[in-house]
Amino acid sequence: MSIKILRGEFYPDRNAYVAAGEPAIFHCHHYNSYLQAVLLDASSYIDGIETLLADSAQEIAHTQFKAFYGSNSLNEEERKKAVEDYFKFAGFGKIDLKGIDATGGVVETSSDHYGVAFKSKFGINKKPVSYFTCGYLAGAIEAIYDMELGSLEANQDLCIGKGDEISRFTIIRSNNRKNKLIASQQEGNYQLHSLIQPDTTKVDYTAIRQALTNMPLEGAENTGLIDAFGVLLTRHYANYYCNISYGFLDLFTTQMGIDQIEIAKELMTEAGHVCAFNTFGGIMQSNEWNAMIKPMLSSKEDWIHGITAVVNSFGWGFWEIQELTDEKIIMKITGGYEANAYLGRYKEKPSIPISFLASGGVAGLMNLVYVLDLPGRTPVTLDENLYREISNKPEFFKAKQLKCRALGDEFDLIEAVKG
Amino acid sequence: MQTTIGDVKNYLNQKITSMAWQRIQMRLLPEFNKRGIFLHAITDSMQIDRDLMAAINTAVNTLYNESLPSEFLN
Repeated sequence: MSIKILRGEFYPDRNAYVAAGEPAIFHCHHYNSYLQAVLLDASSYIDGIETLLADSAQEIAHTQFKAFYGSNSLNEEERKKAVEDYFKFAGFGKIDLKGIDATGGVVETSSDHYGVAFKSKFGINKKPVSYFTCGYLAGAIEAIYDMELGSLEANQDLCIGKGDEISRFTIIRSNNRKNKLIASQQEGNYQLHSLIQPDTTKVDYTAIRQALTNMPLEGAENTGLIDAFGVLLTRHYANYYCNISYGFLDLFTTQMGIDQIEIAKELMTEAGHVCAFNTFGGIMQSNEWNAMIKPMLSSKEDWIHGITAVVNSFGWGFWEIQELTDEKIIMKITGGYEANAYLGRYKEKPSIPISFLASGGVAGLMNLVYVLDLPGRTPVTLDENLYREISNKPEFFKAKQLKCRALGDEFDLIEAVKG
Repeated sequence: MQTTIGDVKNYLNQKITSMAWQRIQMRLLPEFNKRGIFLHAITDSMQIDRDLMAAINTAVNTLYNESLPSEFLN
């Protein structure tokens, strides 16, 4: 029987969502836009960053839809519908491919996650920002017409993120492509594991994961955006974050030298911290949290366990607290998507530990609970002023990656320490 | 008295936003490097010349719609 829409499923033994071979994870618009912004900060002197942002999406979308069509016999219209539908399901926005054929065409939308996200977070941008959507369209349309990866390219002129009413993408044949695109690493080097219930808390990890992985989080019918927990969520491609981040590190070290890599690491970790502040903070004040999780909490340590249990439903791998006091946390991560992707894509070991999102996330949850004192202050508005307030406090937690699977360790280990 | 790296870093991270200084550094890395300022060897006591300060101010304006205090720029 032919399956006409793409959804994927959650695999409890790897704590991952997989859709047609491609791992999907939850991330918010703060992370999506901040990470892209810090990479683009270097675009005036490093060639290839904008191309990297679009090409990474193209590689993944092509790989995913090629796999999906390979196992489901669909006609042209059904293939187009699957692409439009998955875009909406994942919270990327709304697109309509009716004007598209094998030579390309034009796609216009009044709802595009990246455009909306940038405008919301940074105000009006001077240039179009939806590199991801460009790549998604080019890769998916190639797959619709059984074309080779890299046959098409997409350009954006109008963009919601620069104040236009709509975003507009023109897809054309790619005749002068300088760089070779590479198929996605899909699940990469994933690990099998099981969810472990800590004996130091009453927070029920299994029940929380079960409830959250079954929540109907998908793009709204009219906008294709997922407005939840005070943020715009996406069921984004794990490999997209990894390939733009590690691809950026390659470009950066090649052109600026390895000695200055720390700045890139700091900013990509900060993207994870921004994500934690907004998404974890939003979740910890949500109706779902108050109804399901808060009744299990009797201490700040329980709040850390509660949000860690939630993280175990994001598709980020298995997060297990190894040590927790009000001054320090050590988090073990098995099957983390960053290491999965790195090991699936690269033969060489990285020059530094590469779990940037996890590092920022672990520090972020400690800062929310112990520095901001969210348990005692909720409800609070999570805005820039509050973020600056906590980040300037002397007790602000900072993270360090102690073990890194991409460097040969068995798992990732992240420590965040006060002050 | 000439403004130092530490003065600007503290101002940006405390008054604008966390990691604002790092984003400015990332944005202007070649400007720092051509003055012999490399990030692995940067110190708070290093002084910032007028042209670099102007470039920093422009970047602050672009990223955050803010300006550095006049005492940094004069």
